[in-house]
Amino acid sequence: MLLEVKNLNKTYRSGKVHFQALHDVTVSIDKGEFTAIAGPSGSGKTTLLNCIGTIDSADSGQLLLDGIDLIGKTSDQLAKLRKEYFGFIFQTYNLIPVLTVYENIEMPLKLLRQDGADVLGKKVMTMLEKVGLRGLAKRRPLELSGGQQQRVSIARALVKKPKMVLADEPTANLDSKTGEDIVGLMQDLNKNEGVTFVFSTHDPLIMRHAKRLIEIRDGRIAS
Amino acid sequence: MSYLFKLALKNIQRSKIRTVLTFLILSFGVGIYIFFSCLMDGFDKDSIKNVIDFETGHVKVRSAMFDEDRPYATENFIKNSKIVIGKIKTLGFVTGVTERLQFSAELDNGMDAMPVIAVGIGPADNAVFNMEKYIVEGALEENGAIIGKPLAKDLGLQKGDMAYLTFRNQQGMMTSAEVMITGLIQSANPQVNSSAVFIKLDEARQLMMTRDAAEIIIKTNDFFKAEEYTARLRDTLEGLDVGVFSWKKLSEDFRAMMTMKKKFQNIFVLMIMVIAIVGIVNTMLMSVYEKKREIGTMKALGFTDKEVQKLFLVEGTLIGVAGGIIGLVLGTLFNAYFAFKGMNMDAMLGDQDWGMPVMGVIKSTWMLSAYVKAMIFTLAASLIASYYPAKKVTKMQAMECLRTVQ
Repeated sequence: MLLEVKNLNKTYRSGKVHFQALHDVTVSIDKGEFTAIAGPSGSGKTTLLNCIGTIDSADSGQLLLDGIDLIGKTSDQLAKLRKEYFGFIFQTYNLIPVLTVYENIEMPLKLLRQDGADVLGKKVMTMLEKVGLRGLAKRRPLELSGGQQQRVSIARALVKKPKMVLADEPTANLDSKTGEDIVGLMQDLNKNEGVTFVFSTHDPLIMRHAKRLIEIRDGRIAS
Repeated sequence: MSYLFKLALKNIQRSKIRTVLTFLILSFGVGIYIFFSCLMDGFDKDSIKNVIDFETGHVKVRSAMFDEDRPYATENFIKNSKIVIGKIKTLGFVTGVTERLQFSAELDNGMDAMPVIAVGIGPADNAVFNMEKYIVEGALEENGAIIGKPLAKDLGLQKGDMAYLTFRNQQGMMTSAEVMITGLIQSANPQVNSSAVFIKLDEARQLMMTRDAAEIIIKTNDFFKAEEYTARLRDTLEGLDVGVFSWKKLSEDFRAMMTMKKKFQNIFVLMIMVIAIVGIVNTMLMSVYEKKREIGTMKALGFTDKEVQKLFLVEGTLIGVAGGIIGLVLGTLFNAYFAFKGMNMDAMLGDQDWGMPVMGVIKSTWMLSAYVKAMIFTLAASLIASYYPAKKVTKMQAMECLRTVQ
């Protein structure tokens, strides 16, 4: 089992207002899955995804990644885990605007500090090839379409070959044709590279292609 | 670190106008600091030079009875000046020695009178003082006098005019002597220009009916060693009823003014630097708020808090270094003009005596310590100014940053 979530609780607090986004959520994800966490807006799917990715903290419960409990780890320990285990794809792409496409994709590799310049360059160019953006390596994100930016975001998430890619509504800002292309691309990478994908989505397109569907409602797993 | 450096460099280039404005504030601060320090250093050095060249020499010998409150009283005269000078000349470090006889008097043009200091100068005066260089018209002749140009102007006197010097001689009798203005002086010391009347020492002695001198002034081979030489002179002249004083001791009041001036100068510079620091803090805070989502993304990708903090510190330091370097160039350019051309105090203040012993053209110096201090201060200021925004970044959680709407 790659990931086990046990009795996870998360409450957002803003002054006197408390909102419990996750109630005793228990779920597990295996290696190579192509799983969608689906539910309406405000159901807690993004919160669950963010807690899994350790970019948001849970109040209680267990989060076991390869048997390591992530709850209670320090900020630096979590950063190290994120660097090695996870790739993130965001709804709004979140590319760094001052960096070129190439530089955005190389960033996770630079952080890992494992490869020399040659190997690193080859990895980035291979990823660019896979996402069909080889000719756009020197462009900046703002010079690209939404679909192209999301491809860069996918390339950035996958270039370091993470154990798990967490994608938060990756098709929400794309038209249906581009969304179809992006989902197809991620499916190929899942099939050919064995990368585990977990999505939060309410896009029927992703739900249709997902191998497994986890439904969440009002912060509870519905099915 | 090199990757963070590259990222920081890219970030700086993002908001070009803001970065340029910050550079300008910082470089202006550094430039002004350097220019001001060098100009003031030139001013101080000129002032010291003028005090030495026109008033104190390197070391001065006075009567042991010298009364500070009545500096021109005849009771202050040195009785045995010839013996004292003889002893002084035996010392190897002495390069020049002269005696002067000063007394207070009034210079009268027949209509108006002005209080002056009559100064009897001996033939060896040029070995100690630098007066001849500043005589703009005529020369010191028999029964003649040289006066400052401003004094001549105030009394309506010209070269060749007759004037009356009225004074009380050593015996206490009021005496009046007719002198011809045979020369005019425009020195770099306003006090000399406005109140000195130079006459020959022998004539001054005749007028005062004395064989004494008011003071003996010494020039040495190194004015930085004036304190050491003063001590040696004291030993040599022991028992001769005289006091020995270095130029430093004699210019205490003036040097106290210099210290006060430096304090004001430092406050002024500090204010400029505070403005520069506020500029950097502002730029860095704006940068943090603008890049909140990016910071969140970077943290999600695995940047540690320290790495993000470092990124902002490097960014601030880069702004500081670049602003500092531009400031050094600006300061050098400002300073170059005043180091070569100088600042004409006469054009600014006319003949007014404003309490400092400088007049004419003041040239700024090349003060290496000002450059070093400016660079150290800029780097320290940039780091301090970046620290708070960088710390703020560290405290933010990745999700908190990613939720920011931009």
